[in-house]
Amino acid sequence: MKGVLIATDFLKDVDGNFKVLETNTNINLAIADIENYFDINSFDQFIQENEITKIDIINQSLAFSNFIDLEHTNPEKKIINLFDYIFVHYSGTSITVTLHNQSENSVTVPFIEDEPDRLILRSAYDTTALIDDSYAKDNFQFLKLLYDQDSNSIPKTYISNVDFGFDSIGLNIRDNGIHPNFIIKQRFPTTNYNEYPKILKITTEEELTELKNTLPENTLLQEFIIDVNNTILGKLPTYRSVDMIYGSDLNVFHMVHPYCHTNFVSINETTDYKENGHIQVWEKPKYQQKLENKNDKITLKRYKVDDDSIIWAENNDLLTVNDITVGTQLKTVSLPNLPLDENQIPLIDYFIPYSSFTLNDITVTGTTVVDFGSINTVPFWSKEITLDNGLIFEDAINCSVLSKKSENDEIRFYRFEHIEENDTIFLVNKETEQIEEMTVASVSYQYVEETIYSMDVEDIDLYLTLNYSTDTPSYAIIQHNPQLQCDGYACNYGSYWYCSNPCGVYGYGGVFYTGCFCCNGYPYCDYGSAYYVGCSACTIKA
Amino acid sequence: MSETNKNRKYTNPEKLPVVKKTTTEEKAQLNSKVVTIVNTIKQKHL
Repeated sequence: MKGVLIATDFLKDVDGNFKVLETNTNINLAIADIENYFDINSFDQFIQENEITKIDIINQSLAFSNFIDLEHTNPEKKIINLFDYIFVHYSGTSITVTLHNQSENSVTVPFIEDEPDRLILRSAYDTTALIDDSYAKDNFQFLKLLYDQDSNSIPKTYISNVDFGFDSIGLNIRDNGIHPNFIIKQRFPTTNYNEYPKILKITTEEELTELKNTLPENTLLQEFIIDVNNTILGKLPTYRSVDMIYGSDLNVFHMVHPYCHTNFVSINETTDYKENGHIQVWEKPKYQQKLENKNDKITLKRYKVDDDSIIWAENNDLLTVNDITVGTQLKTVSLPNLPLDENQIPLIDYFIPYSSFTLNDITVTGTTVVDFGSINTVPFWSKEITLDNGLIFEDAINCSVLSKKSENDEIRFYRFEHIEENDTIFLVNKETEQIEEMTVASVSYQYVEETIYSMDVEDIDLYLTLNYSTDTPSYAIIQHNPQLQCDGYACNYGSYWYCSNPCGVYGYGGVFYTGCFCCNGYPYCDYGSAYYVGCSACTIKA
Repeated sequence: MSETNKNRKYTNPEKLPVVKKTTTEEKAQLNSKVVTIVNTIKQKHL
C-alpha cells in the first residue's frame, strides 16, 4: 500500500472560517517534539488494521529550522522528528521500518515493490504523482479545483489563465485597516522569498483593476486574510494540517495534530509601505512565513561586511567598503596557531583555551585584500551588539568574530548570530593597539536591506572593523575571512552521514555531529533523516 | 511612503516563529476540510 504525506495550509478569516491556501508534498514539519503532536496509538491501530509488517519511508525534507514550539516544555528532551520516531518505535518489533533518504533536488522516488503488507510512505516530491504534479506544484490547478467545488473554501482569488482562470475578487477591496489587503503569489513553488510573495495595500477600485491588468504571467492575486484579533504572541498564524493519503481509494489518515505556525515578528500599530503600495522590506517578517532566497543560502554566508562597516587600514586610516580594492593594506592581528590557509582546518575547530590565554598572545600586524565582492541590496537579519562600556557593533549575522561564550572556556570565531549577552568579545584598542576583552551587555536584530560584501585578506585571514557608535571609533572587533561553513545539519540516532559537495567526507553523527562543516546543502544520512540544527546547536561551534 | 518601523529592533525570541497545537474545535474543522479537498480530487480523477 502506498501513502503520501501532504501538508495543507490554511488561514482563519475574521468570521472563524478556514480558507485553504495550498497543499504540499515533500513537507517540512516545524515541530520540536513530535510526541506532542503524533498519536502513536492511532498509527499503531492503523498498522494493525491494515496488517502492515513493513514500513518504507521515503523522506526528502529537513525536519525544522529555528522556531519556538510552545508545546515543547522540556528543553532537556532530545528533539526527534516524525520518521525517526516511527523508526525507533518499531525497533525490536515484528514490524520493520526502512528509511530511504532522497537528495534535496530529487524529483522522483526509488522503486519499492508494493505489497499488501507493506506501507510505502512518501514524504518526497514525485513528479510522476498526481497530487504532487497537479496540485502541490501548481497553485492554479489546486485553487481552480477548490473554487469550482466551493468558491468560499479559498481566499478571494484572481487568476488570469485560459485553462484555470477565474475571478472571485471582482472589485471587492478587503478592509484590513492599516494592514496590507492583497498578496501576489507565484503559480509554481517559490524559491526566492525576497522576490515573492508581494504583499500590498490597495485602496481604490482603479488600483485593483490596474493590478489585475498588469499581473505578471504565472502569478495570482489573492485577498490577504488576516485577523488582528487572532494572533499568537502578537504574531499572525497560518494553520497546517498534515495527513497521509493512502491506498487506491485515496483514503485520509490524519497524521499529526494540526498546528499553528506564526510569522517571524508581531504586528504593531503601524505598517510601512512603498509608494507603489507594497510593504517595505522591514515589514516582511510581520507578514511572511519565509524570507530567504533558497538558491543563495550558502553564498550569502560568505558575505560579511555591510555599508556601515568601518575597516582599519594598516596606515591607521578608517576605511569604508567604498575605499577597499584588491591590494588595500589592512591592519590585522596574529593569533597563536591559526593556520594561514583558512581551509586547512574548519574554522569551527580552531580555538584558544581561555585559561591558558594571555592578551599578549595576540599581536597587531598587517594583511592585504586579495578578493572583494558584493551582492546588491539583499534583505537579511542584521545584528547589533552593545558592550558593557556602551560601544555598539552592528553587522550581518554571518560575520565571524573572535569571542568566547559565557558558558565555556574556549575562545573561537563565533558567528555574530550566536553571540549573546554575557559573552566576551576580544577587541583591539585603536590607540594602544593592545587587545582588550569586553562583555556583551545586550543584542538586538533588525531586518534590513543593504548591500553586503565579501572580503578575503591574505596572508593572515583576519581584518579589523570598528565600532560606529561614537564619532571617533576606538575599538575594533577581529573578523575572519569567509571560510568553510558549518551548515548545522545533523543525522539522528547514531547514523553515519555523508557530505557529497564540496568536501566528500564521511562521519559518524549522533544527534549533534561534530564535523559536517562543508556540506553545500545537507548531509545524506544512512538512516534517520537529516535535520537542521543551526551552528549554535552544533555544540555551539562557529 | 513611510518608514516608521524601519529601525524596529527585536530580541532573538521576538524574531522567531511560534508553533502550537490547534484547539480541538479547530482540529475538527481542519480535518474535515482536508477530507473535503481529497474527496474533490477523487471526484475529478477516480
